[in-house]
Amino acid sequence: MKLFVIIKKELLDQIRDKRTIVASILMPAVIVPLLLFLTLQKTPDDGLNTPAKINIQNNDTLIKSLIHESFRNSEFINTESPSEAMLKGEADLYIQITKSGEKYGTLTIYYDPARSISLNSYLAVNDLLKSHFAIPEIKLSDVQITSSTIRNDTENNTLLILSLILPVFLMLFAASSTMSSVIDISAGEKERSTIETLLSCSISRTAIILGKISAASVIGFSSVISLISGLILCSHLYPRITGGISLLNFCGIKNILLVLMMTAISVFFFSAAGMVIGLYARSVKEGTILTLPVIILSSALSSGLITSDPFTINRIYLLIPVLNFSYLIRSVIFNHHELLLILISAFINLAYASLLLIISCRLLKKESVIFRS
Amino acid sequence: MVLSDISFSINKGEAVALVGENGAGKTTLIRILSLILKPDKGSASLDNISFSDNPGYIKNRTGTLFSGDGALYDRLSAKENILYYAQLNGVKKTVYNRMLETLTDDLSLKDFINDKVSTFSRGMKQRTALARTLITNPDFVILDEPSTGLDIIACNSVKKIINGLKAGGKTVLFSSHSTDEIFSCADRIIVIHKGKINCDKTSGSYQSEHGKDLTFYIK
Repeated sequence: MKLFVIIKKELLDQIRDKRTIVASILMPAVIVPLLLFLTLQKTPDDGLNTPAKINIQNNDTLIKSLIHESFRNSEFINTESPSEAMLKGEADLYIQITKSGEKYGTLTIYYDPARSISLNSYLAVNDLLKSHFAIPEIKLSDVQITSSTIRNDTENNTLLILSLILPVFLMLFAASSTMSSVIDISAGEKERSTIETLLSCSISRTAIILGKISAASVIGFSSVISLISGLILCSHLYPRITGGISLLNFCGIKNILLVLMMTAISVFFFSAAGMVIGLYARSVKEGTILTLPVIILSSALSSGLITSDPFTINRIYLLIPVLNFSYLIRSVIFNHHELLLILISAFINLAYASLLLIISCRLLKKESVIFRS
Repeated sequence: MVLSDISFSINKGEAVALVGENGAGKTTLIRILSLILKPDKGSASLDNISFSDNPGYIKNRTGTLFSGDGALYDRLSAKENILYYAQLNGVKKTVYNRMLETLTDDLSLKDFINDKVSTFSRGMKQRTALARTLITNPDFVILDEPSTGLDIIACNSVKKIINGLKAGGKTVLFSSHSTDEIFSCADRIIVIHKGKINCDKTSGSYQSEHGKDLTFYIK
């Protein structure tokens, strides 16, 4: 019976702790459905339900009408450099045709296996063409249908690995190291009772908050730099860890700097968010517990749009911090950068950070928060 | 703690003891005088300058030692703690160097000034915290329970420091639960009970009326 007394007391104690309810019950209930919801965005479930952009050599009428009849959503484009158009996301498929007179020889379908829309379009069009040219009455049985990817296997592997792991790891390390640092320098002031001495100094509370957020951002960004440097060095010495090509060779210094710039803004956002939590918390321990759901949510958001097309985004997602930059980092790994989207996301993140800064300043003026015990 | 009808003035060079039971409002009053909290009503002034009109001036002229374990940064050395506070208060380098030298001698900090605070005893922390409070060379010194938790030798040092400050023309307001400290340092005694001043008398007249019974006004 005493066993049940202990169980009952502990459960009652835990249930009355709001943090337990949030971290153990509400967060899992929200995060997994949210993650699945985001993952399913822009993922064509079958064939060409999502409009695909198809480039057919010489705008071949027969092939075009075949595809158009089956997949009316498809858009046909014509460019002089089909490979480049696919690498830029301007085309999802390229069909190369060899003909002798009116007779078809080989049809080669080029696709990008790293993009789900391209892969699904390829599967659908490949099935369509094979079933069409297999009909004996057409007497074109000697037509060969082959396929090829726009990158070689090593490039595909590297792209897949980097686009999957880099945004997630960057956001995870940015969130965890920044939060841990900012909690120590905000909630730690209360725990050490140094907050009173600090507030009695000739310095404005805004300056205190800004100084602390900047320091935590430096620590968080150092962690990000360390992550990228380690990855650059290790993948240079042992390229297999990134699929065969080193990070630096695959992305190039310009793209890496762009990724770092976006992560730096995210670090500042995490720092501001952590400051609000740290100022509210009674101690470093409580602050650390309170930041846990934020870190979990950040890692969920960072992998949110992982299956979506890196060349098109529903702009509503740009309003969500972490999600916006994780998506754009993934786009940069695909060597695709839209300056406008980066600027919008930077503005959104900085706007949220500013709001959190204002909240932090307000909290630092409230007696019930400063001396919360 | 809610304070009401609190009204008193302290003359330059005077040492005033703030007495009261735990939760009486002493620390709240000290936080208001240190400009950490704003009173809902009323005003305070130093050198006829209102706290609300020129908080920067007040902060520059006031040094506060808050209660607790010195309230220092454990991972910094004693010197770094003192320097940090001096820099935040805009103390000039020449003043800082001069004050640091004086305080290092007066508070016997020399042996551990470059050591990390995490290795300090309670007494060492309190001496460091006192040095930090005084590094700005404030005219008005507030000490919230400066000798709580200290051994007899350290308590005697605190008494010497308060008397030294007084002798140097500083105005001192200190809260304490130590009868010995209060009667050997204070010129005046203010007793706070449930947020109100119950007594404001010179140390001499208090002693002649009630002896050394500090609980007289808080029963």
